[in-house]
Amino acid sequence: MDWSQQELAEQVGVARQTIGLIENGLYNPSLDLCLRIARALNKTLNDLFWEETNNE
Amino acid sequence: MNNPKISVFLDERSRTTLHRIAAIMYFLTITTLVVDILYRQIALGQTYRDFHDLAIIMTINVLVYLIAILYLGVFNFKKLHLPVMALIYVVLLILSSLLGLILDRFTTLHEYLSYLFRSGSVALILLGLYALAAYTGQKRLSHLSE
Repeated sequence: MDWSQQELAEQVGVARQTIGLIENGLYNPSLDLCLRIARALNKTLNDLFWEETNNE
Repeated sequence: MNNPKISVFLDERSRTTLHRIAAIMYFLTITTLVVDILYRQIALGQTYRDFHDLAIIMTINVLVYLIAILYLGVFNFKKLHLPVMALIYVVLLILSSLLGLILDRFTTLHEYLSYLFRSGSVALILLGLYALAAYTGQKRLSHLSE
């Protein structure tokens, strides 16, 4: 899925800036918003928000 | 001709930011009030009878703030222990009697005892209110989390 920030923001009902801040790690979204983003992109929370660490 | 939509709305990030700003502004307002009261007392030499209005605003603010904190379950009490509440009561009593000694400059023992009785009653009522808020808040949270 190749959406712009604006399109995703409209899908999940937030401002475009909020999506940008989440992408840059400058805003921690609520679980509710995480779920809405995951549903909109048809991904799991793990796909979107799980960070792999180097020492694993 | 285009009719541009007004696209300003509050999403969860805006609301979180607004709440954060409100909390900081509340803290600044209360701090300013305290500084103002101290300035009036120390620099202008006013007695606290000269700023009853400010004192009432601060009292109501702190009262509502503490009750809200207790009712909404910010602190988790397993049980409200009577000895702890008695200790809080004694501390409140000592603080208010010290404040009375500093601010009121009593001339007779009768005046002081009368003040102590009044502040003791008020402290007891406040403690009762706080305990009630904490108890009902805990009940509400337990009910919601079941």
